[in-house]
Parts: sequence; C-alpha cells; structure tokens
Amino acid sequence: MSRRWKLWAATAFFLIVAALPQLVRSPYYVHLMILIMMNSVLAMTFVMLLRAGLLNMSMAAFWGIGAYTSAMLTLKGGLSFWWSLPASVTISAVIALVVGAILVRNSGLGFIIPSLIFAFIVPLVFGTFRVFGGHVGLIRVPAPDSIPLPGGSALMFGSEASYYYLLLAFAVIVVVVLLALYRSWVGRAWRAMGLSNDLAQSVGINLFRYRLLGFVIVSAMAALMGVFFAHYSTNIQPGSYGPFKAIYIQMYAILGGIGSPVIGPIIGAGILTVIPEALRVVKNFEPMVTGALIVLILIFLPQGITGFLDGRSARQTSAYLFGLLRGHQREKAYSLRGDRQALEGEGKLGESDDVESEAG
Amino acid sequence: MGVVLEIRKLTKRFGGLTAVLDLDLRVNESEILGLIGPNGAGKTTVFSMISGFQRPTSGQILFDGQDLVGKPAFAIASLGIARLFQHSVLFGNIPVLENVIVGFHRNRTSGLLSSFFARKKARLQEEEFKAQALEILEFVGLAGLKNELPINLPHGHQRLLSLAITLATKPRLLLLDEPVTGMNPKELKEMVRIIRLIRDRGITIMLVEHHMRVVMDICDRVTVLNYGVKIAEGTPQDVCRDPEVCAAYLGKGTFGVA
Amino acid sequence: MGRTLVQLFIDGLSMGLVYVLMSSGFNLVIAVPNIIFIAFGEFYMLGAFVVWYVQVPAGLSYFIAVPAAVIITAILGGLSYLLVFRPLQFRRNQFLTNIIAGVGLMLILGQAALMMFGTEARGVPSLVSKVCEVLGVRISLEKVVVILLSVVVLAALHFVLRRTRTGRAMRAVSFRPDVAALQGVNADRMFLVAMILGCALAGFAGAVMAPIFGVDLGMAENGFLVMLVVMLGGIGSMPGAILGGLVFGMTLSYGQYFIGSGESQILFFAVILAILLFKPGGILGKNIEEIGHV
Repeated sequence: MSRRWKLWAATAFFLIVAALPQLVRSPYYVHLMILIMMNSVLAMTFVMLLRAGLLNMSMAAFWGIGAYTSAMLTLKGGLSFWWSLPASVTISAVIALVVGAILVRNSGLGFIIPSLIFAFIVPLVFGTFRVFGGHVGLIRVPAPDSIPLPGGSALMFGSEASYYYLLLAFAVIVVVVLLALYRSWVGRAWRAMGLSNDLAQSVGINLFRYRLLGFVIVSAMAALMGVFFAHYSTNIQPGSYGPFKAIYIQMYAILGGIGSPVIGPIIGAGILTVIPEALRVVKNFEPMVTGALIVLILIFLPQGITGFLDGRSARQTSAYLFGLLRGHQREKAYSLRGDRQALEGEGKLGESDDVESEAG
Repeated sequence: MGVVLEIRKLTKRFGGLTAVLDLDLRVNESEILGLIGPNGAGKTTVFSMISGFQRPTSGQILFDGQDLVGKPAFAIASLGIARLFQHSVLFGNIPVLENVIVGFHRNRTSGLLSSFFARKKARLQEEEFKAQALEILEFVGLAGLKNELPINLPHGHQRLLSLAITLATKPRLLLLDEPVTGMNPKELKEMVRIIRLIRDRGITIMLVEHHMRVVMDICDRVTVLNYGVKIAEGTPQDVCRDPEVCAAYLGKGTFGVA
Repeated sequence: MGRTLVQLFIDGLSMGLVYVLMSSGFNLVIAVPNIIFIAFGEFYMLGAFVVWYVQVPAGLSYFIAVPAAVIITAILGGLSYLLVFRPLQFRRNQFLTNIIAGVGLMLILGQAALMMFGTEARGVPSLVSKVCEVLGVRISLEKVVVILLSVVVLAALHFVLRRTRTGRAMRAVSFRPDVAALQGVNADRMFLVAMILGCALAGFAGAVMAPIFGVDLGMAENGFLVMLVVMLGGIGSMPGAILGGLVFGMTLSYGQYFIGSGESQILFFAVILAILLFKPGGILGKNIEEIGHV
C-alpha cells in the first residue's frame, strides 16, 4: 500500500504546488513561496549529506559561489543566463571537488569545523575584493533571457510566477535526483556510513569516495539554488551567504525533522521562512519570537516536527512533555548526588519515572 | 592445501608500549585457526592490523601473496576478508534484512547510473540480493526477525546478525573476534554449529576466543599469544599441555579441562 | 597619525587578551557541557551595554559598572543553561541541537538588546583617559588597564581551575563525566557553573572593552570570531585559548594596519583552515573525538 499511496500523494502534492501561483495572486505570497522552495531544497540536500555522517556547514558558501559565479558570468562576462547556468554549476562542482577532497578526509568534528571556516572565508572573500563588488555586492544581475516558444511568443521572466515555475523545475530535478540516489547503492552506502563508519568499511565501502561524491553533489545543488537566487533577486550581497545562512539551513532541517528526506525540510523551511515574515507586524519582537520558537521546538519536539507527527498518541505526548518540564530525563543521567536528600528525592521521582517511561 | 594468510614478523608499537612483537603466523585454507591468550595479549590488535583498521609498525601481512600492509580497511574488505567485531557493531536503525543487504556491497554489479538508466537491471539485482540475504538469515536462524531493528534485539541475536553481515560479503577469510562471548549455552552451541558449517563451505576462519571449550572443540590449530609474543602453536591438545601456556594463564580466565 | 610598532603591539596585546578572555569562556562552555555556544557574542555585547547603562544614564562609577556587567551576564548565562540547554541534554543529535538552540538564544538576546538600547553606537567614559608617553611613544593608558585587568582575571581563572575544588571538578567533568560522577561530582551542577563562568568572562570582556571601542550591536559578531580563535588554539584547551587569542589580536592589529582589515581576516582564516586540516583539534586542542558526535 505504501508505494502506491505515496505516489498518489506525491503527484497530488506536486499538482497543488504547481497550481499555487494561479490560486494565490499576490506577488508577495509567491515570493514567499519561492523562498520556501529554495530553502527547502537547500535543507533537503543538507539532510542527505547529514545522513551520510557529514554535518556540512559549507552549503551556504556554495550557494554563494553559485550566485556569484553566475552573476559575474552574466554581468561581466556577457553570457546569457542559459549558458551561465550550466557553467556556474559546473564551476561550483569543480570547486567542491577540490575543497571536498581536502575536507572529507576527516569525519565528525574534523570535517565540521573546516567546513565552518570555509563558510566564513567565502563571503569574506566576496566582500573584500572589489572585483566581486565588495561589501555592497553586485547589482542589476540580469534576468534570464526569454525562452522562445514555437508559435512566435516567448516565455518571459518578469513576474514572480515565472520565477516560481523556473525554480519549481529546478526543485523537481533536485528531488528526483535525491530520491534516485537514496534508492540506489550510493544511498545505501551513505546510510551505512552514517550509522557506522567501521562496519561500513568492513563491508568494503570506500568512505572517502562516497563522502566526496556526496559533498560534490550537495554543493552543486546548493550552487544551482544560488544561481537561481542571483538572477531572481538581481542583487547579491556577500553577507547573505555566510555562516548565518549555513546555520539557518541546519535549522530548516532539524526543525522539520531529519528522519524525513523531503517533507521534513519543506516543513522546516516553511516555518522558518514564513514566521519571520508573518511576524513582521510585530517587527519589534519578531526575532525574539522566532528565537523562542526555535528553542521551544528543539526542546519539546526533539525529532523535529515530522518526527513528532510520526505516530504519537496524545497520552504519550503529554507524558513526555510533563517529564521534560520536571526534568526527569536528566535525573536518569550519570550525575550522582551524594547526599541523602537527593536520594530521597530520587526515590520519589523513581516512582513516577516508571509511569512516564511506560508511556513514552 | 594453500596458505591463505601469512603473517611475517608483525610488530605493533604504541609509543612505548609494544602490543605485538615479531609475530609469524600461517593460516591454511579451510582451517579454523584459534588465536588465544590472556587479556591484553594483542589478539584484537592483530585482527585490527589484518583488517586494515590499524597500521603495523613493521612486518608483512600476505593474503594470497598480496601484502595488505598500508591498504585501507575498505580495500582489504573488498579483497575478501571479513571481520566480526568484538562489540557488536551493527547498523542499528535499519531493519535486519537491510543490514545484511548492505553486506553485499562489494558484490554489487549495478552502480549509480543503473538507478537511472537500467532500472530493470537494478531492480532485478535488488530482488536477487533480498533473496540471498534471506538465505543468509535463515542460515544463522534469524529469518523470522528480518524486519526488526538491531537495537531491539538481544545480545545473542545481535552477534548472529553481525555474523550474517560478514557472510554477505562472501569472504574468503573470516576473522571472528570473540563470537560467543556473552552468549548463553544454547546460543553458544548454535554459534559453534554455524561456524563449523561456514568452514565446511570452504571459508577460512581465524578465531579469537576466551571460551576454552569452544577453542578446543572447533579449532584445527591454535596459536597462543602472551604480551604480544607467540609462545606456542599447534593442535589444541598440544597447546593445552604446554607448560608455558599454563603459566601464562595461571590465575586468569577459564582454562577448561580437555 | 602613524602608528608605531609599539603602539600596534599594545593594541594587539589588549585586543588579544580580550579575545583570550572570551576564548577561555567559550572553551569552558565547550569543554565542560560540550556546547558550541553560538549566542556567546551576545554576552560580550551585553557586558558592554551594562557598563554603558550603569555609567551613563545611572551615572554610577566604573567600579560598579564592571561588576554589574559580570553579575548580569553570569545570571543570564545560568538561565540559558537551565532553561534551554539542560532540557536538551541526552538527545540523539544533541550537538547539533545545541548549536541551533544557540541561534535561537542569539535571536532572543540580540533583539532584547536592540529593544532596550536602540541601534546607535554609544560611547562610554573611560576610567583612565590619559595618554602617557613612554620612551617617546604615545600609549593609551586605557589599553594598559585592559591588559592588566585581563591578566589578573586570567590568573584568577587559572587559579580557580587548578586549585579550587569546583575548578577541579569542572575539569574532571570535561574529561570524563561518567568517571567524575563516580567521584561524587554532580555533572549537572558543573555544567551550570561552567556556563555561568563562561558567560561572565564574556561579559567581563565586553565591560573592559567598552571604554575603548564604544558599545554597539555589532559587537555580538565577535562571538563568531571567538569560535574561530578557539578552533585555532585548540578546542577545550586553555593554553590554546591564550595562544589563539594573542595570535588573533596581533594579526588583527598588525594586519589591519599593513594589509587591510578584510584581507588580514581572510589570511587568518586561511591559515586556521590549513592548520586544522592537519591538526583537527587545533594547535593545542584535546582529542576532538571526545566532543560532539553528531
């Protein structure tokens, strides 16, 4: 049943997504949806690499590399968008190959930290050298050229909706590739690596090769999003591609739930993109509310939203929440308290502990 | 009978500590060689070096004539050496059947491109592997648990699953690091039976074990290590009577009566 | 207004020591409760803001301002631990969630600061506004004060960590929390103490820097730079914090003058990256496998 149902659900979902700009006429909302889509894709690719055991903080950097490369190629190189697109993605992939070859030699923190530093360096480079426009960035990045259609007319890129569909095309490609990867031996190897490095090696999985492959693919996809973004927003600033964004990408993933490869990131990206916008009314409080929301979701929904929705009974949920508030989780931890009072307290807690652990 | 594995003057030093010193060892085809010794004798280190997880300080490890030293672990695994780790290392959050299928990695024939362009071929191979994985699970007796998560399994079953994964790699040489530790007598008998069957299929086995009964029972030959040095070698009976071996074990472990 | 090497040295030393203070605090939070505290920079900024607030609107002396800054940041640090990080313990993705929780906190604290203090940069009257001449070089006494205060605090920190029971308990927890527990150390309490201490250090650093550089919202970004300094010097290593902080301070000082701010930063980062690729834990770092398994 699963397979069939999923296929229908996915098709329905796709149709709805495709129809959205027709239903929601306001360009502002379409703009929001574009952002959500882009962030979802970024989050999805992040999750893919995360499941292979790599917490990649350099994704925002490649997003930026893609954006800047395409901007430079079109603005200063005179290329049209449709040539710049494959060129930029290819260039970014090559950069990813070089950088990745150095980075993925290590795993765990030995990978995370250098990738974070890379995330710092890239926007700094873009912001420092005048050729990239410096602090201010680049402006008037040209829109994609219109695609001539048979019959005389052409697809123009001026309205929000047109960009929406362009992005949708990209997003579909990315998702299809992602899912194919997950289902292939590559995906299987990644999952194995993510679960146990040692065992994966023992069955003959070449960790370096698969990590590098993942890194390049993910970076190229991020770059693809960057190319789109550059031409969509027509001006790019180095600051938007820095470590901030890198962390936000992780947030989209975690809040949505990393157990789910596609839907989780969409939800996470959706929430984190929409809420700050929606709360613009209360502009003064907005970041605070977003921040508080992030913290609350982290505390109360440890598996992210999709993890939470993954079949929890109401009783389990409330028991869990109460347990959290009472801090019973940490009581179970390895902190010993020597004094008697604590032991007595522990005893009392021990009783209710059983009830809680039964329920969740 | 051919020599599958030959170890020459293998030495491993960790800073000031010598874990293994000048070890010479031969493993013949289709035999079960036991590697025993008191705790800390260097047995697991030897396994680590053979399987490529640690690099020897000096010496050679020849597998069918090829020197393994310096090769990365995955390459050694691809050559046909599989290892059962001392602590059950498993892919905890995926079903048992999947665990075994991962083991077929080095034997797969369809690559990344197949998932796009040769869908039928890929799908056929999937089903083939599924069937083979089930076979292996039946062989070790876990077929009924194929959809369980390893983290939910009791210790004995986890060991069997680890064994199943190693079998999936279709190894020529199997390194078993304490396969029966922590098992109850029934599980133990089962494991011994399975190991024998594996050997009967032509797979060469090297066994590290503390349970002397088992060692005496299934090993064709035994090598004894103490503080990283080989102190005895021969049939289990010979070794058991060697005074130096007894001295090494005196006061330690379970040296069962033959 | 040529700056001589000596002046640059003093600049570098004072900036460097401030970074050492912050890196020590940051390291404390990494080593003991294993949190990569993204919101750390906010505490630095808050320290400076408190000093401003105490001195300017309230008109009290510097000697009240600095302790106030330290106390307030300490309290906030403790609250952060109790309300945010403690409930997040023992999760599967704990490392990652801690990072993200830090972002959440950063947003909250940053916005709160914005709301309370507004966007303009402010100046803070300094304790000693004299500039004295030593060997023909004009040195701002201000910075000398910073240097002295920093050294004193660092020495005190060293003392606390090595000589007091609490300090030793914290260090025990940073190495092996389970073993420390066997010795009767309440890991949870040590996490709290480490957090409080770490944030207090950041607050102190901000308080001390306020007279020199003024107070504005951008200060919080130093938190990110501190992260990098820590990675250079070695995660969880106090000597590493000293090394990294001083190197960074000097690089900034000399680099800004000779090469230019952006370029020197890039150079610095590139060097850190190169070092880290060979020594993933930082120059003096502890074994990084002990921290943060995602």
